[in-house]
Amino acid sequence: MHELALCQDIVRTALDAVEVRSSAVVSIALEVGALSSVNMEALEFCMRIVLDQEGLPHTRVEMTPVPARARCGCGAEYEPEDVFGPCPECEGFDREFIGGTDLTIRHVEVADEQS
Amino acid sequence: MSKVDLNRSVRESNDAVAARNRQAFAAHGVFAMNIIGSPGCGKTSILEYTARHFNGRFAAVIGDVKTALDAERIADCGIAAHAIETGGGCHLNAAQVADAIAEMDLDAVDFLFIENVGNLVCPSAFDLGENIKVAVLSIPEGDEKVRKYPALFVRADALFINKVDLAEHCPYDLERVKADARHVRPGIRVFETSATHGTGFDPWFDFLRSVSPA
Repeated sequence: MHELALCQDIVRTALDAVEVRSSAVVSIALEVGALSSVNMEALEFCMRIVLDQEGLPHTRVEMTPVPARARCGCGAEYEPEDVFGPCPECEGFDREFIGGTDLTIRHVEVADEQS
Repeated sequence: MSKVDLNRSVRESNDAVAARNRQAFAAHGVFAMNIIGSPGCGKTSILEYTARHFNGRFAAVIGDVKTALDAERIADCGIAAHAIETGGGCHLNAAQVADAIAEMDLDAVDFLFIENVGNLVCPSAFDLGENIKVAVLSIPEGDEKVRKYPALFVRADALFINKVDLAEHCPYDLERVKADARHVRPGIRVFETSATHGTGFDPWFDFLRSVSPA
């Protein structure tokens, strides 16, 4: 259950990025890798808690899952169905994971200033 | 409506501190190991047995949710041990390790054991600046742990299968566990040990000697 600490980092990073317009944050878009050790439901739950604490109960959280991606020693790149799946080209397991390992903040949407 | 693009990894701040830890280890000739396993799998016992064999030049950073019991147990072996009480936190982060090593004389250390909080999930996702990640499993936990918690084994450089002395009492398919680990992490080094009886440690000691910066 480290999602709460991650959400505090996410919200701090997002608010820092938009500086004075922090009260106008409409949405925060995240990409959640399949191998990022992050549970999407827990992430959503914790984002709501942190956003409520920051006085941003209406800010939306958009989460896009990112599948795992692997590069095999034979040169093939593929999306393994699970981490136990072999390379579809050579059926080997000599691969490194090159995608789906991270949790990324894609962008923050901010409402335009109203005069 | 305007959009501010960030494209920033949430772990960026942790990774920056981890990179500084890694530089400090290299500068002082320290080989650092991030030890990850369930509560009760034998992390501290493996550390004790290894440290006794090498007789000094060892230090330990030990994370526990509550109490410094493990660190005290290690200090009793004559090893410099620093406790990090995470107060509910389920993993160590790079900043906690940075604080701990700031208080250590790293020039007196060849090997640093960083014993993570007992947990197979999130410790694997946080770089501490270590040279290698070491996963620890034990026979009584059952033989499906690699399949259930693959995120750790995808990143682990070495795997202990500990408490092998209990194999005759537990249904456990050792070959399956090793095959699973090698599927997700080809080239992973596997050590089959009993820390209580001190069996199976020679390949591990040979490995440590081979990587020793000293």
